[in-house]
Amino acid sequence: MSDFFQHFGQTVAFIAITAVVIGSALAATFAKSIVHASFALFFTLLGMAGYYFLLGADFLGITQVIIYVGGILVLLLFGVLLTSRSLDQLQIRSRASYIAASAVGLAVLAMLWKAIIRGPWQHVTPVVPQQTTQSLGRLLLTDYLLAFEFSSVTLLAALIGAAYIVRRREK
Amino acid sequence: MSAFTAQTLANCRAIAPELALIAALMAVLLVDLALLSRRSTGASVWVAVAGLGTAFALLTRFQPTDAVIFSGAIRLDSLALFFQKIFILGAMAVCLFTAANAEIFAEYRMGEYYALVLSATLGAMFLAAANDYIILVLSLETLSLSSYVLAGYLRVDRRSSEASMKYILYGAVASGVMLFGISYLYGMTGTLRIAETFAPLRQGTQSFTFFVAFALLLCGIGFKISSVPFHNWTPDVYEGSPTPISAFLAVVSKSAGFAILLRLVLQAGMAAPGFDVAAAARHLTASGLDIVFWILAAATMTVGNLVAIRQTDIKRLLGYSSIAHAGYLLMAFTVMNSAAWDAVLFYFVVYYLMTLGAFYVAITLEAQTGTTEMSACRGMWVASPYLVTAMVVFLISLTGLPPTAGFPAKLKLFKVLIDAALGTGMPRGPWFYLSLALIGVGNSVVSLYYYFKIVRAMTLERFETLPSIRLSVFDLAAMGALLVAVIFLGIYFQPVEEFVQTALSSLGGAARVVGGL
Amino acid sequence: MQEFVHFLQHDVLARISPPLGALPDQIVLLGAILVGAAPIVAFMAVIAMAWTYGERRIAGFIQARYGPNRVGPEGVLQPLADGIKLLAKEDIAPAGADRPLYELAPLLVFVGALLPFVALPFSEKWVISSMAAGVFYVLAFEAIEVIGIIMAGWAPNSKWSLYGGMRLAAQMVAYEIPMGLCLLTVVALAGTLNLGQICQMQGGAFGVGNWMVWPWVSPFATLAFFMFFVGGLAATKRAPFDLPEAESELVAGFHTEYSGIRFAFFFMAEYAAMYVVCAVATVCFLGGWHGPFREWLAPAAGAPTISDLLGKAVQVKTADGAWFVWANLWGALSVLGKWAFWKPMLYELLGAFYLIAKSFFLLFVMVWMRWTLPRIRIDQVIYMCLKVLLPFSLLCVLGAAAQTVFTDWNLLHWLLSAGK
Repeated sequence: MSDFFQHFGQTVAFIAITAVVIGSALAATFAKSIVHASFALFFTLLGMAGYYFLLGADFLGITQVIIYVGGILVLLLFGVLLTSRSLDQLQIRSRASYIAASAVGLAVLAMLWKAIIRGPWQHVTPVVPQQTTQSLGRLLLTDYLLAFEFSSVTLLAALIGAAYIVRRREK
Repeated sequence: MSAFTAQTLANCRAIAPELALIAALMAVLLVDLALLSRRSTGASVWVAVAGLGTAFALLTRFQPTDAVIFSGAIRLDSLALFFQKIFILGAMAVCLFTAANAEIFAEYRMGEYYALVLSATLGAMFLAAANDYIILVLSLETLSLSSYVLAGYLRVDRRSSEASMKYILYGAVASGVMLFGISYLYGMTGTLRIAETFAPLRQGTQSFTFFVAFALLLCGIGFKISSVPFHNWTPDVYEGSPTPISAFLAVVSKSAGFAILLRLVLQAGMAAPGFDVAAAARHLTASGLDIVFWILAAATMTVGNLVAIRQTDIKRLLGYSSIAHAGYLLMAFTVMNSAAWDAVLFYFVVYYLMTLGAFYVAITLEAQTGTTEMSACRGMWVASPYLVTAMVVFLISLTGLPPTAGFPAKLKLFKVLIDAALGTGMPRGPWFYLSLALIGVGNSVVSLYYYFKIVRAMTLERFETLPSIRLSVFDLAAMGALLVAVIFLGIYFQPVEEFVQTALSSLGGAARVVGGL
Repeated sequence: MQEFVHFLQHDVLARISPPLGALPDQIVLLGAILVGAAPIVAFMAVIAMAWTYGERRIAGFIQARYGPNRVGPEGVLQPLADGIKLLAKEDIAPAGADRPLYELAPLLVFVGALLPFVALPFSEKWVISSMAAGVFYVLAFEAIEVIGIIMAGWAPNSKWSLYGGMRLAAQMVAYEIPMGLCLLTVVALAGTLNLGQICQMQGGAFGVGNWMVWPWVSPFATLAFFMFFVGGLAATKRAPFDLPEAESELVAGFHTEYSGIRFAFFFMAEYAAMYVVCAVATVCFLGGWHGPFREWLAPAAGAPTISDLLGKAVQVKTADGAWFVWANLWGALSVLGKWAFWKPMLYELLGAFYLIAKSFFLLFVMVWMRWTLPRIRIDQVIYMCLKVLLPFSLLCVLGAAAQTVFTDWNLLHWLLSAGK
């Protein structure tokens, strides 16, 4: 009985999050206004964080919120809001390109769908991790030490590039 | 001191060249900051070159061993060392070319430029040694991010900004697709070690999902090497970028893409530690990837060469030519035996020399005449015979004709295919290889035509005004060195053979693990 | 909190009414969350009301005038009158507004301000979820507020709103970095991301000796505290960083076009955000619930906890299949008459008092600064963040890390032997 409800609760949460994610992703794709599309993305990204919380990966979920919602989406919105109003309404150039794009998209979707359905996925018994933060920290400084340190070089390069691009012209 | 710390320190010694580059990167920034004026331009190039030189010196000290370090994140084998060496030399050439032709960057500060060249080189170096998808993605992104900014370094120039924008858009999509493919591989095997993700292949379980995952992975790499369905950015970016950066993209960035592609292919056959070239070929052929490579190779060289015919801008033309060369190199991936890898590495050494040479001529043209249009080259023969001679030799080499180094390089590639067609025990029939070789030969003939369009413009066409070209001592020396190298290696290519043999030495060997992991 | 809910469900509710005990955990937890959310919303409302009044009275005092003093004694009912006014106002939206976004924005801002309370302790045991990554969590949900603010800036189709929204979003995103680094200083010193644990270790002599802010605990944390507070001023757009709603140039910033209940949402969210910043500063730097005399009420080692008392009280009469066991209900209520119940209760209450009092002092300082300092320019705001706070907060993190490593031999040993 309790077990049933345990699964039931998780299933309901999963379905609810999935509905939000897919619904908002579709809204982002088909929105006429680029601003609406960007705001729809907010719910997609938040829903992804919801998945992580549902899987017990609390640190990852919070990181998702900080990076995607607090960082990337804000940047995207700044970009959208600072561009000219004439770009506000997305224009589909022609019916033909619309159909071609849809066809390619559907073909890719079909391919990925088949790959997912047929996939020899590795099944692991789900374990709710205890102390995700500590474990992550430990892994980052042992097994993934190089990746952790090297990512700072990646970010440094991005930072130098960003600083260079936005700098005022010297002359 | 604990075992972990000792091991980490030992691992750090193994990546000393990369650490030297990181130090140089920071030194460039600090020098630029300390000399807050134009004067810093001169200083930062020397810091960058010194850093690259130190890294190269450290690299040559390493004996090629097959070492897996940092808990399996990096695999330092002879292949990685080979690519890292040519990346560093390529980057050094780009730095020096830039400094010698400062006119192109007259309005810009150069501190960030050299810092970004260094970070891009660093990304390429880690990419060549990646043993793990996390490092693969991170290093690919470091290389890409730095290249995006470098492509748009001439901020005032609209074409440069456009090049940067196009590069970012294509690159972002390619990385995204590649990451998606990696997520499939992870889902199937539960590991991020490159070799272990190929386990299903080695166990002989063919699956559609694996094929899709590998294809998605190829999209990301295909973008870097500008192979055909992902080549659209190449001419635009090469045309718009400052020319030294076009050269960087054509040599370092492209060979980094091939380095990781080669590693992926070889890891497919990794039985125990160490590569098993034959097994890799067997497994990949069994899942039909050699057909994918066949299509990619044929399409890439044909499209690259055919579209190049109509180009009137030298940089754009060299862009298409670099697509075509990616196609030639991909031919070897249909055969996948030791001879094929030997030919690929040999080709790279020669490709570096001739491409850097051709781009150096383009850099000089851009710096002195402000354009790389072919029509602006008219009368060059009178203005600077030396420059034209150099260009002719580089173009002959790019075509693959004797007596230049391009000839043995291309010959080796074709020989691999012909041998495969004639040999027994190959997985496909002779026509599979022979047809590709014929397409390659046909393409080489086409390339002869458009390469000589440049020569014709420089020598034969009528001109009204004489272009003003004054070659500096460095120009003469750099072009001369590349010229001599291209001709000399065309006649006596034993040194390159030996260099490549060393690079391939650890392919069959067992991995020696540093630090007891 | 979760354990306590489970305890209530299995050991108390189930004994009082067996059918209630059969409810699945998640539904009980959901109920508890909903029940728990109500006091928080109420708390937010009370803070907003108290501080609108407080702010105006303090402003009056500073400017040598009265401030609101007509409604009720000394004007204390003024916020209630304001609230009624806001609720009763007509709901108007600009003609060119993007209606769905216009209506969504205040809710997002409000939810963003509400979420940090989930991890924010009010006292040692009074916290909804004592999560392991509490500090990180509190910082994260500022992000939702930022999105809400950008939405509010864009939706009404007004340039004042847009300028205000963009300015505030830029400011919040920028200041999140030094604020996070300042908290990281504390995290490095405390060795945990759990807000409760960070607070717990700050007791010391007389309940005040070991606060993070004292230089003898860590000079880096002292510096970090002041920088965190400055960052908090900017992140909640308080003067001198209030140019997102600079009335002399932008009318009222991103909420220019909002009125009535929607405006009230922004208003509450603003004060809630201020309280969150002050409470986090209190918990991380000012000893949180620690204060003088509180230790006198500390439960002794073997003293029964509230759970023990309740558990014992509801065993008076075991369930015999009845739908409702009245004897157990009276038993449960009887603990209210025991000192053993009230002593830990007072302990928590005093903790809550200290925490809220310290937070309110910081809020007072915020108000004080608003009426004292002139507004600075936007470039100065960003300069302050990127070139002053950021390097110094990095310095604090480095210093705190060095301090942690070099004063703790065990940690040094662990670092040298970490790994497998």
